[in-house]
Amino acid sequence: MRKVFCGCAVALMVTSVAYAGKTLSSPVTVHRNADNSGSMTGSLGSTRNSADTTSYLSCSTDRYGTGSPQMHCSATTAAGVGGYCHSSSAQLVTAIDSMPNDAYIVVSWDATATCTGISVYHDSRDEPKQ
Amino acid sequence: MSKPLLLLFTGVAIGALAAWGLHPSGQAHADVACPQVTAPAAQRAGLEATQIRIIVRDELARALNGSPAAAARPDPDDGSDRAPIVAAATPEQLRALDDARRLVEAARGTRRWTKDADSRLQGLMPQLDDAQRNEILGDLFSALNRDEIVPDFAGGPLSR
Repeated sequence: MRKVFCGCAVALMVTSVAYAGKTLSSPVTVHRNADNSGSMTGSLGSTRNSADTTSYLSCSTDRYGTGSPQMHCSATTAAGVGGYCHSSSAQLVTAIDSMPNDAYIVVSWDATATCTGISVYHDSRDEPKQ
Repeated sequence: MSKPLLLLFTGVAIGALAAWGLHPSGQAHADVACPQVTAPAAQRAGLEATQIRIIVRDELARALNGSPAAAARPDPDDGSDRAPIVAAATPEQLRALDDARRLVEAARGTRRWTKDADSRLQGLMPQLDDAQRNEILGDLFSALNRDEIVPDFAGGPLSR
């Protein structure tokens, strides 16, 4: 009985290793430049899974009865450093709308807090939200 | 032509002109009178429209820039490209813009962006036009990036 148990445990370990793959933990980071421009990076899953209760990373789109759709992103690191930007760029709005739930993102903004670009990564290494 | 004749001719001409000026013919009177009858009404309407346009632009300039002087007073007859913007700025929009600006200014004063302020701003956003939204968000987000304002709740502006 003991041999059977040990055999099962070894088999489970082998199986686990075989399906693990490369993983990354990418909690949110915020970089601010002297001219008030900056960028935020991180995966939604890793930020959500951070042990602290401060980390935050979010992007949203807004649509109103009139005018253009808008997007905005906010981030706060574990150390409490925040980064914020917004834009009415149709391309950026589309990028946010189609962003996967556990994406890794890089968002940059200029000195006026206008988002200037977003990169969205669909990456197997990124962890999902727990 | 002798000098006496020249003087006589000149005198007659001056007299005729003076007489016409004092007692113009009925036809001439009618020509002058018609514009005088219709002009005041047209001018009054024009002035009202101009005054309204100036008042609206001043109010918009005050709301957008804090001072009526920030917007150049337009020529009454100009067809400037600012006219459509003025026409689109309703009193409700100006009021909402004013409220939104006060929220940001109050946050600057306390250095805090509260959940209550955020909820209020979310309620005002649909009433603003694109330019007004960009002004408010640009102002707020820039202040947040400089730590002049700090959210006192988990999340950023316009969050859940």
